[in-house]
Amino acid sequence: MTEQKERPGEETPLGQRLLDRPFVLLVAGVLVMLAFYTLWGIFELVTLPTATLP
Amino acid sequence: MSNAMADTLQGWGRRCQVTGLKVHSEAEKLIKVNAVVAVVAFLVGVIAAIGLVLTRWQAVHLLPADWYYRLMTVHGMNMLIFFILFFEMAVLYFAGPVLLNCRVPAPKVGWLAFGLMVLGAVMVDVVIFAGKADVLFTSYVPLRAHPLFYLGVILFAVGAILVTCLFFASLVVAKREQTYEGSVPLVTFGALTAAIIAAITLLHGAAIYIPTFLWSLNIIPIDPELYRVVWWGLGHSSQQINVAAMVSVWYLLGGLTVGAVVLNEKISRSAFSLYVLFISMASAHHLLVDPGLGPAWKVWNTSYAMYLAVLASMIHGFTVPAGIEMGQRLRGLVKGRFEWLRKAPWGDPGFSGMFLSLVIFGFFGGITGVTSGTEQINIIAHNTLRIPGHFHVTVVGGTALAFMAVTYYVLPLIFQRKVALWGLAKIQPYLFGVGIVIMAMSMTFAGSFGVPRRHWDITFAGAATSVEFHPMVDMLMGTMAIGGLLAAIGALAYIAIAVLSVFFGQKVDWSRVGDGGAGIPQGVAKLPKQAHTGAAVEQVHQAGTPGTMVLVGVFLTVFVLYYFVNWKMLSMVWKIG
Repeated sequence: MTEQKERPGEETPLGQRLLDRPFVLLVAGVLVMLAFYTLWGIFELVTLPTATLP
Repeated sequence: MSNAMADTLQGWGRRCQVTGLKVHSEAEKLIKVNAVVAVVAFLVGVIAAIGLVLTRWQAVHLLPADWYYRLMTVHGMNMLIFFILFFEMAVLYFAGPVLLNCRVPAPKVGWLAFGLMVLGAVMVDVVIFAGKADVLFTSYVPLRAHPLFYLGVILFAVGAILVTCLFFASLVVAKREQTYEGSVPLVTFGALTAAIIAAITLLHGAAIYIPTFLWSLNIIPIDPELYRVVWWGLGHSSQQINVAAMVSVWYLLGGLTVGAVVLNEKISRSAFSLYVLFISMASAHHLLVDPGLGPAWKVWNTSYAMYLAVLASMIHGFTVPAGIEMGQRLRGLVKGRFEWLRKAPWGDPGFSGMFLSLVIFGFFGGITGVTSGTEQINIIAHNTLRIPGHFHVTVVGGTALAFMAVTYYVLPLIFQRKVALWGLAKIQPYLFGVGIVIMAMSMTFAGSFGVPRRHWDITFAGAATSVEFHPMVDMLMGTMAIGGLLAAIGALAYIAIAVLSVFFGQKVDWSRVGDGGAGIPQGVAKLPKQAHTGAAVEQVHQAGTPGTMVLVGVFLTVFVLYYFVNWKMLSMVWKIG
């Protein structure tokens, strides 16, 4: 339940600044899932060659 | 509290007498209504569950086939979607406006969202009970439900996405109005993780349920395989919202019950961000035996990427108990490796529920999930009872139990009521937790003997061909039912406690809350102080968390053994030479 407070004169580390941006995290989360799971999966299915009947 | 502060809160809300947090009145009302409806959905799901276990127990075989699949659909929708998501909406209102000391940005939108979610849930349940949607939770195309079923799900999802947007808006408002300093609290960051996964989930939900609704009206066609890929982006990701929300509740209850400290904010937040990036890809597990998708897609999504999310769970699985150990040691419980655990408040259902949830999710859920999610091993686990065995220890023994545990703190802190039936409340987490473990482990072992999931009659009575299982299966299906009934008793006890407390419970007398007594959890009676600096803290930090290290060692040993045994079982399927 703790809150991270900056000490005066101390620069916030890059990682913390990144994690403090909720919309950057939102976009990253959505894009990674869309790219690797959804779009790649759909691409595999739509490019699947039609099976020929014996 | 100064008069000036009391004036400030007039017409705005109140200040919590225990935590000191400002509670916006609209946030409080929205938490209450969402939590109450969650419990109602839970009751519907529990009643359906009793019918299901008494049917799968072959000696009883209670329901006819149509009602078995109908109640299976009711159970899935009410437990996995309605109960969980209504509760998570309450978590978002708590972790946003309450923890950040700010207002709900647009309360009318919150009420609109709540109305849409209730309307959608009622529509879905009515259609299922009317026998027009026996399509199970997955509603795989070409199984066709009544169009109102799909419309109900869409309305529910729109409501949920509105609440998610309100949570993001509360982050913006709190930042702009400077209601907190520095970074948001860790519990809020966990809820943010849940909200991001909710956005991913609901995007996939819209992408699949709107076309499926049109398909049910005979307007467009749908490819069943494409349906499965996009639907699981909703179906599995929705359960990952639970994981993030559950871990947030662990951190919250650790602090409230025993003054647990966060060992390292950077580590815990990095673990949450691994969830944001990788946990939703676990959806691909459900498609591991689908022939249309290639091995590269399967292995990338379920192994390389997903294991980063598993790493995150293992980090939380260490930092939460280690934070509890550290908190207890700071309170003087420093003898040996386990005095902190032996002298933990096991009679506080908030603590016992949280710790059982942690153990059940980590030991049973995590180990079975990672093992059966391995592409090669999945071939002997897919569509067997091992799969529901796994997710009943993650979603039920993990998430639902964590939500039950936090309810024992929500009742006095938000509803301002004492916990009713206090004696029963103290044993409720044990009844529920033990019952779920017996049920889920019986399912897991029955699944190892090849027993299929979602099957009305595994004896195939009257069929042209017969199937015989190992005699052990009869016993396992019986213990599954006994465990399920024990868990149902625990669940009904929770519902009775929640309903009696909310509607008929005694109001908390804040002037005497420090005395504790029946109905007041010990963390509410005396909120444990968290210490972060000083010589005592330094000394405890030097000693580390030796007890948790032993627990981690046991976990990793069991993990390795179970994983090895499964590869051995796989090797016995096709003997070479």
